[in-house]
Amino acid sequence: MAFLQTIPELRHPAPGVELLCLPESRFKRAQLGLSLDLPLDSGRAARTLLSEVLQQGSTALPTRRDLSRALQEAYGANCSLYADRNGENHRIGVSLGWVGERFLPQGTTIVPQLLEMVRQLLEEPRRGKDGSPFDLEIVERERKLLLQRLAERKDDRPGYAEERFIRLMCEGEPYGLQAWDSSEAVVALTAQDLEKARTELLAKAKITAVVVGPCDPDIIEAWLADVFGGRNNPVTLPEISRPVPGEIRAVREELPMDQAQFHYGFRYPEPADKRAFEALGFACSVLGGGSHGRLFRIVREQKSLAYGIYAMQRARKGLVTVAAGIDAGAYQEVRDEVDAQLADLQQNGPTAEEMEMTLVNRLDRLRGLADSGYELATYFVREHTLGLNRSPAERAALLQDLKPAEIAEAARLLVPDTVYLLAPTAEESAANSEGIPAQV
Amino acid sequence: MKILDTIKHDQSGETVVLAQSASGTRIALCSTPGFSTSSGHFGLRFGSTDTHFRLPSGQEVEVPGGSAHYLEHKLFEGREEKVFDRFGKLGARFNGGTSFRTTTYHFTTASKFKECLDVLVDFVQHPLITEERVEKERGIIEQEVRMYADHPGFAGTFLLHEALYAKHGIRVEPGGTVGDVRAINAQHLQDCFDGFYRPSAMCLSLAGDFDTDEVLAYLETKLDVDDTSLATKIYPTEPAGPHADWLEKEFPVTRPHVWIGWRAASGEPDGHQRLHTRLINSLVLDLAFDVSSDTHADLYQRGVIDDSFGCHWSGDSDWGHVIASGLCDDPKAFVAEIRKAAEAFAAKGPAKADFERLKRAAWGGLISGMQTPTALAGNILSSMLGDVRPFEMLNVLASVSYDDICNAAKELFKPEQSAVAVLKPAAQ
Repeated sequence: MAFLQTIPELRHPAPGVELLCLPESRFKRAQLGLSLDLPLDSGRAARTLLSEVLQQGSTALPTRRDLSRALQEAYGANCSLYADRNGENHRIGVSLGWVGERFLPQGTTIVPQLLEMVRQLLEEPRRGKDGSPFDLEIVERERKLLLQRLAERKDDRPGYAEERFIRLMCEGEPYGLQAWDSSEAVVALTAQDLEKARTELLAKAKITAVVVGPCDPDIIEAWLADVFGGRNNPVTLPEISRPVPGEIRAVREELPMDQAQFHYGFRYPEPADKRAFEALGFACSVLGGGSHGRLFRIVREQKSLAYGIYAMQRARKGLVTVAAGIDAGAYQEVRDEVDAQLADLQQNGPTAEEMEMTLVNRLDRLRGLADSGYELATYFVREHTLGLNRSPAERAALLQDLKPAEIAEAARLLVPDTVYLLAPTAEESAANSEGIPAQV
Repeated sequence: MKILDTIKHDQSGETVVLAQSASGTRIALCSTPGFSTSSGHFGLRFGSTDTHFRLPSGQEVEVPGGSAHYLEHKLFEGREEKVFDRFGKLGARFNGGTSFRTTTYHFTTASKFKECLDVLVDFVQHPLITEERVEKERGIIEQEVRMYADHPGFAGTFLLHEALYAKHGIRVEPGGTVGDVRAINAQHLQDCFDGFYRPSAMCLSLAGDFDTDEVLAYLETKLDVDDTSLATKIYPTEPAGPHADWLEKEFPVTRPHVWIGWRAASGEPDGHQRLHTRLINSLVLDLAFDVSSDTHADLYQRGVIDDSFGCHWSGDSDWGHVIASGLCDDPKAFVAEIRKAAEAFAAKGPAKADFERLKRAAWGGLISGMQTPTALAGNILSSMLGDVRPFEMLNVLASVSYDDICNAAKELFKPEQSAVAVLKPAAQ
């Protein structure tokens, strides 16, 4: 199969609103994603709680039950809102999905109703009594639930370890901030704060929409123009910070748990051009891009120290991070192996076999993009966000032309910054080693 | 190669050709013109609960828990070359999975379908199991098992299984315990392979933009010819009713995590009936506890449940149960509220309009789950391993009646069939 030669059409239906169009009639389900981005400012606590409150109902569908029933009536459509950090921005995301209308009984139309539902959630939320912008009972309930969820983050040890690692590595940078600000900030919010956050979000946020699957983009474009056409002063988002790393930091924290969580972070400066950027992604893949990666083959397959170990490029921020679940006692060995393999890659570049395996792996992903709405949308949103806007065919041509020396040069951009271990407490470690019989 | 049937499914727009090899391997081919990727899924009905069996020779064998999963890992070792490297050179995505009753292996590729298919059928049929190779994998699997050990959802589910069942294999997670992993040897794995990985037990599902006749002709040369009988599975006799009413365990969690289970009177040996039961019970649970239900709205508004609450049905030939779970401050009050709500729902039954709406939503979910060649091939293999025809789920869903739901609800939430598991925060 050939690579996709084109990039999606980009439309501008309203000020500060971009629409990436990926119509695809082969798919059975359509998906519309809206990303509303603002800086990670002091309003992010309000926007985080707002995303929960808005999902509780609108004027037309005043309860979660009503919303859920409306989605079920539309043959199992889905709609949700979320708040998160994205790069160094704060994002409120809206996700809407539905079965393509060609699969529904003839003459059935669901898209206009679903779009109207989203509009109502954003523009006509359920109001409170006596002129309050929101139902205060709902605000209090959702605040309590949000605070509980924040307190329970530690229960997910791998997720918590990653959060702590990023916070420590990027301390003092927006990238290290929590999307919800703090529990104290959530406690202090009023219904008026949420309404202010809502109006600011709709008026100022940079909005990126992507529609993929069996759907006419004209309908989405018209809807976006209708909802956001009146905006006149959308925000300009700040440039992402890329500080130069100083001395490498090693941090160990402990919690009661079984398996230790290992994270190792590297920074790199902005690559010189598209070619250097592609070489860096290639180097990251050689190091830990999957079962073909060095770390997987050595740390897992040769040394049996981990079930999985992977390297991930965080391209907008200029980070490469390595993560693995390991025995705490293997920390130094794993860390040394990461250092050794990266140093070898920087000095000698990939072997011929690594070049071949990484290349076929990356080319296969590019060829296969066209079959998955999610992967198509993720690929093109990333290209758009990074300002690269390359078709899979363009990337494939570049990949095939890369030389081992360029991969080594790109790998030399990586500078170690922080190594982090979330380890079992001493008592837990002792229990693990003593409590398990050697033979059963 | 014998063509058994061609299923043209109008609602999904898909067509599947069913065939069978000379040795009885069942094959399904779903042609997806215009798609870039192709996918192959190869599997059998042999899983983590199959630890006691009689080989065709008459020898009775007992292997440690986790043996099926360990064997899955060992197959990826290959004979001369690691499967990681073989698939890696082809650029394919691949993986395997072991459940209580099945083991599956799969790949997805956008360029080398025939080569990947060759690797798949070769490594699953022709392993090399030695003590040295088994030893080498032990540390990796132990880390995998320990990865799940920190997961409250996993720990709570298996604590509930211990409460619901006295002897059943689903009391132990598919990977086994760390102790199990340390006890497994090459002979255990060889016995499992010899007893179950026989051509007549294997199912192969393929989806992609390929020529069906050409693929079948190719497979003719690749699938083993072997008429060795299968081992006979031996399952313990499980006493009726829950093993324990209430089990608790300290765990590093912030608030109590609670699991409530209701056991069905029996499992469903017949595949079609099992699918019917699964769909009906899943609909019952949605009608009783989904966000769209009155019950959920009431419990949520009163702060009894939050978004951690969920429920599902699990069942096979010899077990069946509902699990409802969530986080709370007071486990006893939480359990009392959920049980009361379940019993009230069973007594009253759902509204007909709710039933029709949820059935429609379930249909949309099923159709949406058949999008990519990977999803299609996986879906079809699940049907084959469940002893039902591909896409039968949509037909069965269409056949579910309102009375089916009302009757099932009455059977599902019997107090005497219920048990509870609680992960409580460890004392500081």
